[in-house]
Amino acid sequence: MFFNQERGQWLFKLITSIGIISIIGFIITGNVLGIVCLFSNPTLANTLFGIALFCPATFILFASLFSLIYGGYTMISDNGDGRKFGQGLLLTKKSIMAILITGTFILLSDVTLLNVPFGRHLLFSYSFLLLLLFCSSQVYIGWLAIPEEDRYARFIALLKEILPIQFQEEWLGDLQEKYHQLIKEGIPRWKVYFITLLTGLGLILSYLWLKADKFVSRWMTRA
Amino acid sequence: MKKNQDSIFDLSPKEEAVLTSVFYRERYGLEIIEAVKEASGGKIKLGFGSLYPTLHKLEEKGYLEARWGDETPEERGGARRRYYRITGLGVKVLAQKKQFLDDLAGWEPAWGGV
Repeated sequence: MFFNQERGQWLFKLITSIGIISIIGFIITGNVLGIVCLFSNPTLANTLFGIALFCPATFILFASLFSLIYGGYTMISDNGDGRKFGQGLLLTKKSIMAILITGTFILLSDVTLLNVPFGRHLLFSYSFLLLLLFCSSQVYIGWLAIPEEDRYARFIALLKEILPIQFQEEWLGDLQEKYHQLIKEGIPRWKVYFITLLTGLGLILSYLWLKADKFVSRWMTRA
Repeated sequence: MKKNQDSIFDLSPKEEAVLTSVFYRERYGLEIIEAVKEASGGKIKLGFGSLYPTLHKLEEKGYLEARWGDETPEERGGARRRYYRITGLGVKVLAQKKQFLDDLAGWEPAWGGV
């Protein structure tokens, strides 16, 4: 089995690392291309946009990258009581969130406001996504080798790591109830797992929506 | 006052469906999804991705209130259900919307036609 062998575990870690590095590469390349375009077409609007939004976003992006690395280091250097691991995990989660938000902003700015040539963007930046897709497919193939029940338990455990504790009882409870309902209805296992996977992704979307909504309303209140 | 007048336009179709689903009795998340799906003959499918943000918005607007259920079913892994029910304000907004649609359907120009 993929995860039960030491080699499989290392392969999984390697593939996950390449996946994370490719996301970071994807975002950084997009950022560098944006900055090049910002300074090669110095109009007043571009300069103002750069000073007010793009450069701060770049700063946040790099600070989040450092914080992500520090979070990972804190997790590894846990002495067994789980305290440092928890702190590191929280830091890592917040960093990933910040990277995703600022990264998306930068990539959208590149192709809309800064007129970064899409072909070049595609070549340099989006090529990292192909690497990410490859890694994801490898992890998915690995997951297929796990018994069905374990796969479900692992998925719920993963969601517990991602979703904040105040939503877990209601959201994951509903998800588990739906899972058992589908099994009772006699739907094939692979289909049940697929529906559960999509539903789980829906829960992550809900969480991101709530987070973004809170952020926007706080920002509007301040403004 | 203006907020109150605008509140019927503040309801999206999804919010209206969720609010109506808890009009006569309190329901929990999964039950609301099932109710909307069954009542629409399977034409409207609310996903988990849109249900919880909708419930959250309705709760924030004061149209819904929630309570934790006492039972801890085994198929939920021991997790309690969170039941939602419509508030007085929610009932009022739904009634206002229905009244508005009825008035709109029956409206006739005072000058006898366009």
